[in-house]
Amino acid sequence: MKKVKNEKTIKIISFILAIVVSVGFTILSYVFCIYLSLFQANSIKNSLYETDYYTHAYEQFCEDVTDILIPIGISSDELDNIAHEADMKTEINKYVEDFYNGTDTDKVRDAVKDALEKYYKKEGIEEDRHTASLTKELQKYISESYTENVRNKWFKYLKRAKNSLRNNILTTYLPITVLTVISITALFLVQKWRHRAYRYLIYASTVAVILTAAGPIALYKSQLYKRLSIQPKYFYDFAMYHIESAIKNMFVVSLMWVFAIFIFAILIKYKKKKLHNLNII
Amino acid sequence: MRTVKKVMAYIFMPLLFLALDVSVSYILFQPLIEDVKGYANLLLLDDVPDFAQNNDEIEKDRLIEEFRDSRNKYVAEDDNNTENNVEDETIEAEEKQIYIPLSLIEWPNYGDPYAWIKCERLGIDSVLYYGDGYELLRKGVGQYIGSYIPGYGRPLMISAHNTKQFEPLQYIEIGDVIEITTGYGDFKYQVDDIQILLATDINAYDMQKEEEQLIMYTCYPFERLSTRHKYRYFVYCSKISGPILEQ
Repeated sequence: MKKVKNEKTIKIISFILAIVVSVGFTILSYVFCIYLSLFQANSIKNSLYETDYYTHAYEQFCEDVTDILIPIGISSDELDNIAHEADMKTEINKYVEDFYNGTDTDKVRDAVKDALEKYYKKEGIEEDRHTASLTKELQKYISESYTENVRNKWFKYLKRAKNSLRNNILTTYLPITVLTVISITALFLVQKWRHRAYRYLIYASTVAVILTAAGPIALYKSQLYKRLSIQPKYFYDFAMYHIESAIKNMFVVSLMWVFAIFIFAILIKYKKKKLHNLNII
Repeated sequence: MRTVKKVMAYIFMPLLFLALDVSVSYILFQPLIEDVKGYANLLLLDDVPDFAQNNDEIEKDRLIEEFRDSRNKYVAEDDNNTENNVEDETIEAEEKQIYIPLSLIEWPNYGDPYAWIKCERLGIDSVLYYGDGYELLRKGVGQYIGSYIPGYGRPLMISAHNTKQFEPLQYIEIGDVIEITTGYGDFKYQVDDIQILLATDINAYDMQKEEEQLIMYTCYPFERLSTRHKYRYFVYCSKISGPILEQ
């Protein structure tokens, strides 16, 4: 009787510990995927490259310069090549890597000044206080436009989400990880035979597989993320590519859990065989 | 017995774990889930955003042809109004007042090139876009979307750059005629006032006025190489012909 009661108690404790482990596995999968796929600089830069973001941002900057020049009556051809796509790409990447506050606009300002001086000479416009003031203002507007196209506001929101997740990692996810590790250890200590602990780990991993795959499947099928109100189009295209990459990564992580289940199953078989050979079971 | 054990082990237990995991996770992370839901409601539209670009290379003749074809549709559908028995396409609007039910008109969307503006004497000849953002003023004349479409009986306010489509406006005179061609009718307006006002002057226009008035404006002065356009050049025109949209 006492033996049966003990066994029942062990089963209940194991069950509870396994639930804790399964919650831990699921949450850690999501955090791992989201943090590494969505917020890591390298994955962001890869998505920017794949969607031709740098070219589009540069083209948008050129259009903005045209808009600045039209009311002034200067053709945008006169201020061609005041910025280069490669330089803009470097600035965007720097911003994505560490969201630092500065954007190097010295080259752009110098190029605007040189181009305007050539224009005045070509048109026979005498350089005076008025043209000097115009040059200064155009340098200001154009470099502001350059900065705006480098530092798209949506990257700022991405940064805020990343910081929020990072703060939660310390306050919430770290304790969950510690709890998961303790629960796994306790699971092994509580069980008489190791293979029973592995069985509970298989249950926990199965849940992790289902939930890690279910979320992305549901999102992919509903295409909810495609309704995000993001402008301009080239940033929207980058965001869609980036989100879909993160979804694919979650599938990969769910496959890792399948692999883990496979390993646990082999270990169970191995342990049982060992015990069988020793005539213990 | 073995089957029961197998069912328990391979189906029941995983499902039980799944149910409990979802419940525990939901309870633990409800505040975060609510936050994410809140942000999603703010950021999600009803449908996938439409980034379709307006055709920049609309040919003038093709556009006018489209307008004339669609205009016939409105006139043909208006059977109930005996005053509008237009038998011949060539009947001038001045001779017979045409009434078109507003319900037949599709209000333009932001960015639509919905009309054509012309002034022969000055050489103004441009597409009229609904909206006056930078991207539209780059291409043609833009309409302030807080104003009304031709025929509505209320003010219609349009603008363009003084270095592009509205550069000729500096030569406009009282009595000049401006033509606006839409898909539902041709309108003519006559200039009856020209004023130079501060850009921030709120008395420059009154959208509540119950009179159809075409207001054209552009930056002033008409000089190149200036970033300081504190003033606006306003041209006020009264309607002289064109259909009336019946509300």
